[in-house]
Amino acid sequence: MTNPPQQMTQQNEQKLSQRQFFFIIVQTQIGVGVLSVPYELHSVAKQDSWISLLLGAVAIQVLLVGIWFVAKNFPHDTLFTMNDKMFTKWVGRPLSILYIFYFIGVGTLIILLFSRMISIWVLPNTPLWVMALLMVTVCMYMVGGGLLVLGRLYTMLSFLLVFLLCLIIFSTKETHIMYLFPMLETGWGKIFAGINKAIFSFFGFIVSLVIFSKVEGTNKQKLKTIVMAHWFVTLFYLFTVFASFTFFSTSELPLVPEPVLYMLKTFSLPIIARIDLFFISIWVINVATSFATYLYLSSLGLSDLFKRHSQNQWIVVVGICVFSISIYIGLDMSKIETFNKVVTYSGYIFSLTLPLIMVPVSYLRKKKDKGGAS
Amino acid sequence: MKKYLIAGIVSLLFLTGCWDERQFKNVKLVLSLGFDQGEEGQIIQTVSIPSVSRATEGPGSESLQILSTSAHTPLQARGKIDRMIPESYDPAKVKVIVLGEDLAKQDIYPILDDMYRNPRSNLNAYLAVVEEGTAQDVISMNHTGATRISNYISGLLEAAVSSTHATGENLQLLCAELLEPGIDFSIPLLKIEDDGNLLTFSGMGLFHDKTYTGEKIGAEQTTLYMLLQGEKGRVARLTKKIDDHGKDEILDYITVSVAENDRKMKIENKDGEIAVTINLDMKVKIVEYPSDHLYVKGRIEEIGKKLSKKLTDESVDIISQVQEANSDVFGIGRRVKAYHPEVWKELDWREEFPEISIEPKVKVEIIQHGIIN
Repeated sequence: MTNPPQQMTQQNEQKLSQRQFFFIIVQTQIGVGVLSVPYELHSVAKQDSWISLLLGAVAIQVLLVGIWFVAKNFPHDTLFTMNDKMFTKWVGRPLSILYIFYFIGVGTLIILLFSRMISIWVLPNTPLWVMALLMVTVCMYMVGGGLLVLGRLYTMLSFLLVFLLCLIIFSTKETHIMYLFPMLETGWGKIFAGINKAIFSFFGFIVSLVIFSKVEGTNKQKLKTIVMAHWFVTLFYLFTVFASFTFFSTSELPLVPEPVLYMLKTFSLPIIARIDLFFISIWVINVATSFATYLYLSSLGLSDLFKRHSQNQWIVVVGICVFSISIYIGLDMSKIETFNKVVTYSGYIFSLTLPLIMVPVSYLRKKKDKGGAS
Repeated sequence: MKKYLIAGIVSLLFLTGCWDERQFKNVKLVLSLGFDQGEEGQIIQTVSIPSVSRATEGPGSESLQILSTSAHTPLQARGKIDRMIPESYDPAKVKVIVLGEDLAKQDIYPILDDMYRNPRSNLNAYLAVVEEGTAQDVISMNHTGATRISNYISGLLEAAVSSTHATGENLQLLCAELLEPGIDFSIPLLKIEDDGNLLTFSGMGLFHDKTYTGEKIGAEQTTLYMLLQGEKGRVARLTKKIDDHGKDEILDYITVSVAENDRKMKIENKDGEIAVTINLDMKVKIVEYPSDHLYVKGRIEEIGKKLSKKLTDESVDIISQVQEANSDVFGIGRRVKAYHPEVWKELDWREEFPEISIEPKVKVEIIQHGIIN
């Protein structure tokens, strides 16, 4: 184990503050995808896809209220113990296991996409295992500190988001607003199809359901925090989308999978010749925070399921799992794409469909419990 | 046990350098690249490779090696050149890419593809075309003066940018205009003069789509041409003939320096006919006017009016050149697409652009005239 013994799991003693909750959500959502969000959106609805992003954000907003509704019915449970109570042990347990698989899958995907990006942009000769190992071990250590440490760390690291924003603002000196026009060229059909991609970029909000009970404050305050975090991320994305859409022309963007980086590559500062490399090194931290959250979620799930061991042992297990799967898949483009598809589509089940199913179930459950008590 | 573990993890941090280190002693930095049209569809690549040999005392001496080779693609040529020099050559710090006129008259994107694709390339580099000559001539030029050829060219281009003769667009900024329909661009032209001893900026070469049209805006007119595009460098000076006394030629001229430049482009759609008005409002300072008498009442206004008329006439001339070359440097087509999409769909912009009416209106206001009247 890499963590010092004095920090062994005592996370239940003190709860997260609202601010820490906010930054955990934000840092989980803003991660590996932020570099390619404009490209992904653009591939469907061209210059109109910022509308898709906004529509997607509204849709997720509705879902978040649903998630909040589910979570507030179980003030002392994580997602995994909730499953037991809602769907009984026989359905709930397997469901929790699937959720854990999903979280491990997302974690692996993050490691793979991160390594691929580093390999393409900065270190073409460095083997995958080095990059994956470094990321996984650092995050294992981080998560070993417990949720509260994560919360504090994420809050502290969030000043880097300001850096990222500043760098993007710097590159907006060559923008052409006219690239956003003609509006609605692709038609509403495409814009609605683009919502699909927009929703992908928001996955990660599920963390608010899992750790809801570990945050202090009233339900109302928590809802406010969740909503604020969501719109913060939306604005951040919207800003990067606008910046890259107005920088690259409509016909150039399909050629550039990482528009944000490419945009910065164009300029140079007196001291920093390659701003894109500077940007990447800050971005790595955002990747680490997203990965650490998923590592935390899956190890939390395992320790909730098998109460025998402490969470720290599960962190190591999950870390090894993620590392081996990513080595197994490798940096092969088609394999990563397939894996990407599998994970994002299962996101539909675990981040969208299941929470929606939980809304009525949790309501009925609570009503039944109350009825039984009175 | 723990001590070893920590030591192990710490040493991991140093590992990353082992695969991707690039030592300076193993590479030769190429600062300027030249491409020309070769035979049978091949291209000729010319590079100048500086190598510094250190002296025991004083500054090291620098020798230049000029290498030229023909190949099918830029990277193939690079491979060939790599076989000619002891180290491998690295274009990550290229400052200028020079294209021969013949090559520029074909699609230039394939030449630049590697620059766009490679993460290590320098997209901040300038692009220039050699007028009536080859890039090989320019790169291997034996110019007088101590600077390297790449510094010479990039210095020349930077000066052109700051004195409002060229746009200063680097490779990446050109890329959008290269690919987007309805926007064309222009690239600085270089010309070898004085029997190969002097390199001059000779104007802006007009491109249509991805090819050089062969037409150019001469260096005399590029300042106004830039101002019409709404761009202004650090200094923008215009010398114009405004009087016709007939006595002393020099007294007819005035030089103004543009302090503020405000360009507005209005695109109107009259039943499918596109009409463009370019309004250019300038505030200028008089920096040279040998005939003096500026204290005479109304004199300054008069000069302003004369200058406005003169510049409007010249703008008409510039615009007709641009239209003749069918090079939509103002991005009118893209604006039509953006704001009048229904018209754009019916037009074949390639054929439409030379026909549309573009009316420039230059208004000059004199705000200063130096420390004498």
